Amino acid sequence: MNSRSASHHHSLQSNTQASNQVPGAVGVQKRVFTKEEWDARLAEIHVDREDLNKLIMNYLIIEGYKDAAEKFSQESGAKPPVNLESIQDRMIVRTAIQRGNIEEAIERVNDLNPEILDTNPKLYFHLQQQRLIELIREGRVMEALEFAQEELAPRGEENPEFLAELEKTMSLLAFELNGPSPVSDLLTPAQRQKLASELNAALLLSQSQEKDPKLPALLKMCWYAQQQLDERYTYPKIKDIAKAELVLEHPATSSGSSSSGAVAGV
Amino acid sequence: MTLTPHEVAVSQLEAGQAVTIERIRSLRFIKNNIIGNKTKKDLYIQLGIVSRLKDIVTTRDEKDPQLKTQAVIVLGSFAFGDEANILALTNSGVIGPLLDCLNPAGDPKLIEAAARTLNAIYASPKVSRQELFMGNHLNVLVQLLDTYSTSYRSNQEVIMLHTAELVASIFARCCETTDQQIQIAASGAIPLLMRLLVSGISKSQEAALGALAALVKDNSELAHHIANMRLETGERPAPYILRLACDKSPTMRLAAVTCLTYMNRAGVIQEHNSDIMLTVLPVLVKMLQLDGIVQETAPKVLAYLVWESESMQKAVCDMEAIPKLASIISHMGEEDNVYGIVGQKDKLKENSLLALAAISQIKEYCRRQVIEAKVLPHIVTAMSHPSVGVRAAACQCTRSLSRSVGSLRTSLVDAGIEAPLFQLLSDSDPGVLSSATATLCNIVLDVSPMKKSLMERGVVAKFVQMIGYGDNIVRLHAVWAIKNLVYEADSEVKETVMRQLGFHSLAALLNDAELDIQEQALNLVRNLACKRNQDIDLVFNGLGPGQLLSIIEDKLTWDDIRMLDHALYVLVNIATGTEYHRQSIMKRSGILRSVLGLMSHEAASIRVAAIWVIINLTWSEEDVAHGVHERVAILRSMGVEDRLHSLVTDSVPDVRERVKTALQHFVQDHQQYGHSGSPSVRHVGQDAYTSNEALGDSRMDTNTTVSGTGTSSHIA
Repeated sequence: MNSRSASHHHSLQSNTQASNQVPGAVGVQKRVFTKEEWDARLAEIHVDREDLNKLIMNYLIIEGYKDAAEKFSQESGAKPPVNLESIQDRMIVRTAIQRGNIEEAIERVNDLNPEILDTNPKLYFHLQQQRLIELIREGRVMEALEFAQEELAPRGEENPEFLAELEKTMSLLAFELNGPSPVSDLLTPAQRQKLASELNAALLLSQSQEKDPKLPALLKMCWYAQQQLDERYTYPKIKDIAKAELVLEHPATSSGSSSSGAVAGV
Repeated sequence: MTLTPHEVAVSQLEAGQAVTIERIRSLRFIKNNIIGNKTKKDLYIQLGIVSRLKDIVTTRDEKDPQLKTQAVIVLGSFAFGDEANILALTNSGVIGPLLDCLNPAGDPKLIEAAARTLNAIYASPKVSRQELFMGNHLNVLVQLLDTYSTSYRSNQEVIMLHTAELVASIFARCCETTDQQIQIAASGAIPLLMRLLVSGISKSQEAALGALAALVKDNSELAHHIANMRLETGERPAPYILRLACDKSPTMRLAAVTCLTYMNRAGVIQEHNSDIMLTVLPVLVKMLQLDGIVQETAPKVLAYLVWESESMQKAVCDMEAIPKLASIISHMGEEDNVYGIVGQKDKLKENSLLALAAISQIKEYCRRQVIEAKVLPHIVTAMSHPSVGVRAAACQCTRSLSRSVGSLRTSLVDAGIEAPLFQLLSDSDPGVLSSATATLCNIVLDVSPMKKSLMERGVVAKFVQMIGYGDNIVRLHAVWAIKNLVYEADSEVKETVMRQLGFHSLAALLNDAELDIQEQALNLVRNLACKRNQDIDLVFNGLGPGQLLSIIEDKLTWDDIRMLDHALYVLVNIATGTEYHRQSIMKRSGILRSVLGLMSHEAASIRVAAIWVIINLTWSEEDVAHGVHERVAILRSMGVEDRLHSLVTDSVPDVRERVKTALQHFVQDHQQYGHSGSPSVRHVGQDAYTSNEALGDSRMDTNTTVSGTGTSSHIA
């Protein structure tokens, strides 16, 4: 589980390229921390195991991994803060969207809480828009046109901010389904995924739960902290979030901008 | 003719048309069609679904609670979003049956659904709250509030908790009157709301904050009670709510700052004044840059918080709230016009304008920022907005801005305020009318080209028309505006105004049922009778000396400083006129006795005014010296001179100064007896100064809490 990398666990690999002088470095010399120094400093910081477990539970619940949450709860003894059944409900909705079965998702949401789609016109519009996309994907052009006219156009009238999106969706009809087009992104799984997340967030909010897990934010913060440190020090740092190894770069290569490496998976 | 699936579904709802399971299926079909879909909601309402749903909800046959529950959910969906739909529901009488569904012994899902539907119905301010306070309903609702448990697990408990949130929200919406607030408090809801407040479950906490806010709003007694309660932790609510004001969730922050704002305005958390300034204000200002309901509501709360508080207005100004509000107002127009559809975000615009109005209410410093933010053209445009709320709010802004010194007021005129403002005098909404007249009150104070052009447009006729209008605030502002219009005006303006108002109406206003209106009318007389003999004659002959002086005589017996002040200065002004005018006063012994009495009034300003009457009545002019001597003799015999002597040591310097002058007149009379010659001291310079002070006043307090303005008191 790569999420554990957020904790200050030490990398197994040791870096022996300790060098205190940086020949040819321009301007202010950065102080260099050796692996040992850094490890000693990290060891001073106490991180509560229970907090780490909570962090992981929080991630599993919000992202909807019900089975994993149950297992994790048994193994770690961390209590789930909510009814695990509510995770199940959200997951049914999510999978329905991912399969392209939008009607089923809508019915489920309305059963869970009929208020959500009545008070969130944007989300409702996106669901109807996805229904339209699915009709177009299946080549049911006449139905798609009829649906757009009956269901989507009135929503655009009520909320003009939706009109641009509606126009974009309708232009799917002008292009070959499998050919290149400026709107082909609407047909990708990512489009369904986006909607599934939006719906998941709305469900979480209606259950007084946070809509974003804490872990990704923490990783971003960690990355930001490293960037700040980079300006002043050379130290063993995490270069690949997925591996969470502490690597001490050769100082000569770390002069100048050190913003290489993207925050993978965050 | 083939039926649409919608028609089929509706027809199956009727009892006996289908088995229960079919009816439930139809209800679910309808539910999934109408949720989020206004077009379908309208369609089903036209198909006459509401009465069928009501029948299902009313029936006592409880074979399957699912049937009732689904029907209640469908009713709830109709209630979301559209006022017309809500009225369609309430006109069919659904509230009673829905309240009956709340019976705690019933199915929890049904109770939850009924609470949700009622909550949605009560979102409309047009719906009567009466039924909720009848029978046992309130007690039942309070019982539903009492379900909170710390570690909720089962679905059942989740439902009950959600029900409690909905009940709290219903309470928040049913606190429109003090009586309703008191009844809900008396039902025992408050301790349960406090428990919900500390539950740690965000939606519950928000709902509790909403209900508490509604209970303390404009109700200092309840506010005091709640502020002094203890939470389970032993803490008082305010510090706890202050922490929620810094919560991660914007809606929680909004709920918390709203509650604190109402408590603050009720004056019950004075020990937290600095927290309000340092925490609540910045939180509200930051919300202006969010979106959705939080951004929309924040300016309204902000307006309420800083209303009538100079220090808050200054502080919020220093937090750069004005440029933020200005940018909201200025940028909105552009978005609206992309598809040529107006109507979006009206509330945001309205609330932002209200906030600007509140911030610039008192301090010139803040008003200048509004002008500098270049938002004035947008405010002027908003005065002609199709939404009445936006028009009224824009007008509030111009009203605040018009209180400024002349130079800023000029920028209002330059921004083209005149035409839309005049247009608003024909507005159908009393709120708009009252703000528009209030703005005009201030603008007509100036000797500006606009005053003339407004008169040419027929502004006086409008005011006269409004005085006949039913709303007392509007009537008050209209009289006020006329009063300001004739303030320091030339005789021609005064005559024009009075030709249109008519002395008959003026006499009626002087005895109006509304004291504030009487006061303004008396102030109008004071302003009319000021400066020239011609002006005094206008009032004297218009009302008739007998009627005029009888009115004054009456007002002088009132225990109302504002009224006494105006009445005395009317006399002061009349006494600057001709010998005839002064003699008319002298003939009224009742008036003279009152003036004598008021010379010892507890308020220094009244003592000063009364002494001014004496000064002006004993003023010596060479050609009619005989009249003065006679008046001095009468006043002396009444004991005026003795009274003056007793005031020589008055604690207020201004009083002592006037006494000195008045006594001089009595001394001169002594000396003049046998001598001839005019008094050596003239007081014109001094008097002109007093008159200017009155002008300063009038600029400051042209606001709803009425106090004397446009006070034109020309003396000697």
